[in-house]
Amino acid sequence: MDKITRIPLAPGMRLTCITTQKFKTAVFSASLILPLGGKDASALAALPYVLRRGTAGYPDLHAVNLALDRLYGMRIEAAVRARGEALAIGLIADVTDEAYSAAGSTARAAKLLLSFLTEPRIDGGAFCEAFVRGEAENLADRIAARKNDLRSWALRRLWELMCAEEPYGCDELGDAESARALTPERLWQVYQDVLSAAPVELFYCGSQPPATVEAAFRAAAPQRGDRGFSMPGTIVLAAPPHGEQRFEETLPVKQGKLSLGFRTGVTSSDPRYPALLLANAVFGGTTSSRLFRHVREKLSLCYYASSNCYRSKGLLSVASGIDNANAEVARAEILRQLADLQEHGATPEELTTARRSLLASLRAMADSPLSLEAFWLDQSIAGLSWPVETLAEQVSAVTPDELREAARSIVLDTTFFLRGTAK
Amino acid sequence: MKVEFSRVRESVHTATLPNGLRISYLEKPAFSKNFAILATDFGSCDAHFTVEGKAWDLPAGVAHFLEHKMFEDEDGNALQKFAAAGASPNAFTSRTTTAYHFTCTENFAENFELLLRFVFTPYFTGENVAKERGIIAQEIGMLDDTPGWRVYGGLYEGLYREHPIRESIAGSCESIAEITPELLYACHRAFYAPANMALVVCGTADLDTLCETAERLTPKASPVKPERRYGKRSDAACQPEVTRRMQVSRPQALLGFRDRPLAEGESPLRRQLLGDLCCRLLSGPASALYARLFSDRLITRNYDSEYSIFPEGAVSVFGGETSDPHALREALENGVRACAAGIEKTEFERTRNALQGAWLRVLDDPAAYAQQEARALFRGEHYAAFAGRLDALTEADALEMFRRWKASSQSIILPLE
Repeated sequence: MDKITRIPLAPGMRLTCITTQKFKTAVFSASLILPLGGKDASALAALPYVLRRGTAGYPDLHAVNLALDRLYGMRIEAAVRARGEALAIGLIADVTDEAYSAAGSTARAAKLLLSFLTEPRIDGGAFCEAFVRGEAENLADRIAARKNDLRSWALRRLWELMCAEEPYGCDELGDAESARALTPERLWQVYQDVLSAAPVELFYCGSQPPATVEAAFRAAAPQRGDRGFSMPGTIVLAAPPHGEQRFEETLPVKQGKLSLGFRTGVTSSDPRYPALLLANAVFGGTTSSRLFRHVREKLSLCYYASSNCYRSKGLLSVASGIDNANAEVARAEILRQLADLQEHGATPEELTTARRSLLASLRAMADSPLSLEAFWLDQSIAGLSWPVETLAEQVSAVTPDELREAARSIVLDTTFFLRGTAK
Repeated sequence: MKVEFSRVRESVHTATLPNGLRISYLEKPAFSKNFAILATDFGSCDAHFTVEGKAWDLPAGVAHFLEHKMFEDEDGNALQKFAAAGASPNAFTSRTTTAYHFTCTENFAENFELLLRFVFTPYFTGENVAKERGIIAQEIGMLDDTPGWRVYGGLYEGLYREHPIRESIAGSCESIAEITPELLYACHRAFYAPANMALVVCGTADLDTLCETAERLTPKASPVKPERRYGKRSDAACQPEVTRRMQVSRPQALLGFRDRPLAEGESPLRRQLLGDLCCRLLSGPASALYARLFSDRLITRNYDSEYSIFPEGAVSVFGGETSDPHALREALENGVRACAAGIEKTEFERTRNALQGAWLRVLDDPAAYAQQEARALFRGEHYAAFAGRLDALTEADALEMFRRWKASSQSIILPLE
């Protein structure tokens, strides 16, 4: 197992270090953690992109990208991620590991990464106007482009409709109109506020010892006092607040998308979480699941049908792409499979298969620095400190009764059908 | 045989079985998972061939249909057998390759046997072929709704007059209606012969054991060798501009520059590196052109470029969402002309180092690395040889490639409806 070290660098600022010789590319990230939604949603979503455009030392995109090219083609990407009802904004980077490049490259990469957060280019006391204008337009375009990917768009609409009264229903990108209305001054104010008040999570996965990484991040980290930093919470409901709801919309596309949203009330802090993950794997989480075998293969009702658990919010979704005429048949079959699982539990064969497949995907996370980055961001926001291996041990110990009980926590809230109207 | 690539600290164990199957084992001692891929040198491009005296002209979508159908055995579905043994299996069909793979953290030997058995055991009936049509028709419907997919298809239709690369990988509902069990059996016999395939394992295994298992479970010989046809070679593009209309939030455009096909004996690995290098030099993130296009909002962060090699052809492709497809086209064509006139030495060297970082990244991803290795194996090369190959490239090589690009270009534009 790789070594995991978590170091409090300052109040409200933590470094998670994974020390491993496995990889040739090291991964870094820096995230500011904020509540999801609110009037500044678009400003927060634009912020990391504006910061990525230029720093005091590298004042425009060309200068920044040249600096990255010189660091062995280092990549730095802005990231805006919703985790339950928390929002993580920041930057993720990867660069040739110091073991395969010049001595001191880890410190240079950490310094460069944090310089985007702490040393932005300043024009007349605010952000560069061209950067803000350009990124506001880019953000508005990204929001509009969501419909181009129908598979994820259908799910997004499901959560918007189902969680309309919870922050979870908010788009982490905000809305196009507020994006276009952004000004350099307003964004500068938002930046000052979040930099002084938001918890900061730093991450490193690579060959260098934690002390070296700590020193590199410490030297470049923002200096700030103790403001009583706290992680945003998430509303978790065990039952639909309004009973069952059904929605239908149309789009001029060929394939219909049927999406079902369920409440479970089970988050990653819940002792039932490992059993729910297994129940999900049996129901629709893998290619041996009931949804795949019955809805896709046996009945040929769709090209895809799968289910997913949302660890931070206690939700479960079923997503499928179907021929428009099959919406009712597919929905009935999906719910029939769930009801059967809740009543009779999984067969011994299903349980074994689902457990194997879930354990394999948990173990495989150790082979991907980006999966580890995402996992530890979730853990930090949820206030949890167990590693993936602990979850794997718990999954290994789940009994058939526990699985059935966890399946019974899955309650239908909302059905959303996106009907394709194109020939 | 073990080959060491000391620059990138990779060991590749490699062998060719008596039946012609090429095998590489990529050693990753610290990784939890094993990844195995069995690939055949048969993709949607390989639609016209002669084998055992009979000439075949396949309807579009056969290679992909065959990929779907291979998972079905007489005694069930291979997907379920893998899942029961703890593996995640999958497959893909590209224009040049069909590949079957799985990843697992336990029971490697059992899963490895499953992979070899099911790929070499065709089982097609009128009934199971008819049923698969329904699933694939749904997939085609989904692809038709995907702008990125449509724009690629349009690009190849514009670039080539006769080449089968013009056809969609999945085919159409009409073309897949012509697919029969007999046709699938014929393609399996022609292209799923060990000598036309490559087997790569990345993780912790042992080459001798892999070879023993493979020798036991693969056909003893590769009896037939199809003669492939790709249409009449023509230097002229088919259409300078192709347009597709569908509902998108912003227009998407791809611009393709045709390059000459690989010459007899030319290294595909070297050509790919040179193509990637030229893509980066022209409009990579650190190029002056990229910064200008981005500031002018002619491109967005999803702008991308790619160099592709296929039988009887090669292209470099640039594009993504754009506010003005024609202005993007003009800027890229001017960029190619400028690069063909000369490249600065410092820029060339910086770009080459950055490209090295990008190829190095692939070595950390067992699935991507094994896929690249399988492609390299078809031509007797190894992916990990890239570092040495890259060092040997010169500005003169890049100039020559840019001059070829300058000679031909195509665009495909997808406007907002």
